[in-house]
Amino acid sequence: MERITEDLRLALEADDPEELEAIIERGHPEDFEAFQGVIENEETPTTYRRRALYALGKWPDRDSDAVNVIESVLPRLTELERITAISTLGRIGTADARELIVSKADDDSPDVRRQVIKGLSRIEDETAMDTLREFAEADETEHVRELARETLRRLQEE
Amino acid sequence: MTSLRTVVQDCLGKGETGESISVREDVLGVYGDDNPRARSVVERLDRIQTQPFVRIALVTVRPTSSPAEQNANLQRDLDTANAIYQSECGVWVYPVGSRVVSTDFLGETVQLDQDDCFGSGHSVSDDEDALFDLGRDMGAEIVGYYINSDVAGFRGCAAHPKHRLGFWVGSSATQWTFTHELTHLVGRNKHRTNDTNNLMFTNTGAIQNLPPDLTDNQCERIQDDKRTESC
Repeated sequence: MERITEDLRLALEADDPEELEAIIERGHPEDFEAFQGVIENEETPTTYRRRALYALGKWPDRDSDAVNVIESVLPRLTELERITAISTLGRIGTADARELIVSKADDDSPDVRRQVIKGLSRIEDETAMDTLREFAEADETEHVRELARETLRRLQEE
Repeated sequence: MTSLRTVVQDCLGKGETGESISVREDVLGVYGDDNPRARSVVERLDRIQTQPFVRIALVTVRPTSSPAEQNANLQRDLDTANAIYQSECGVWVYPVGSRVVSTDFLGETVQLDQDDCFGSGHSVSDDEDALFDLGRDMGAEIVGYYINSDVAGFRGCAAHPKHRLGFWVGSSATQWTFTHELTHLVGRNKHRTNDTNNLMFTNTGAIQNLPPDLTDNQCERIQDDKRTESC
């Protein structure tokens, strides 16, 4: 794994996100770069990459940088890492993030497609709504279609 | 001499409406075969009547595509919680029941999409809202959930929706994660980042000099918590 400071290592190895949330809140640029290195390093264990992805998505005022990092690694991520990445993009919520989320709408994994639906539900623009309708009507997996239908119903009620 | 049924009814609230009482589950608090050991009913009855305890319900979430089996480490976790709480604080943990919920609302990989893990100012996601609805009718204010993980891959988290106390642990949890998260909840104990012997060290997989310790102050917080009750 990348050489990182002791407090970042502790946060990535912790049982729960308390330490990581504190590092995100302080928002040091060098910590962002360190997490970027963790994500991009092909030797990084999945657990640490997922936690670093989560951190980047919540980083204050670095939305565009975080999207670029995710875009550069997305094609080689595992199923669980893609779930984390799409969740992260949904929280970022910019147009660039939405575009990347939609690019995974035909992912082989039903759980990645579920995460696409959850991500788009946070964005709620017309493109996102169109994609949600497509999921509700045509996804091959019943629980994915059901999630899309529920999400559309909830968004229309709001 | 007070009968077993009377003790269980009066102290634990089980069998009050005439239903049968299971010595294994309702008295000994045993719900799994994953941690076999000798267990004394006499000692347990004494403990029920004399020592403060924390009541907890347990819910294992499984996707509909897999067998509806309780988490394989559930009894180990209960026994670990009891061993630490009893030896360190004189408190024990009473499981009111264990339930398996087959559902796809967390997907086939059972990943919780949680907004954050803040103790205060916590934002509740749709997934968390749905998860923390489960098990609320089991007879305990605190519910512990077994899932695979959150979308960030952590081992557990004790943040919860207001008025629905609980925590989750994931499949990568260590032997100590369940009790660590319970202790975030009971007594609102925070991490101890420089105390590698303590249960609340950030990474329970790196705790030294096992079993983990709790300080007097941490125990006082557990004993004084309003979820800690006595017969």
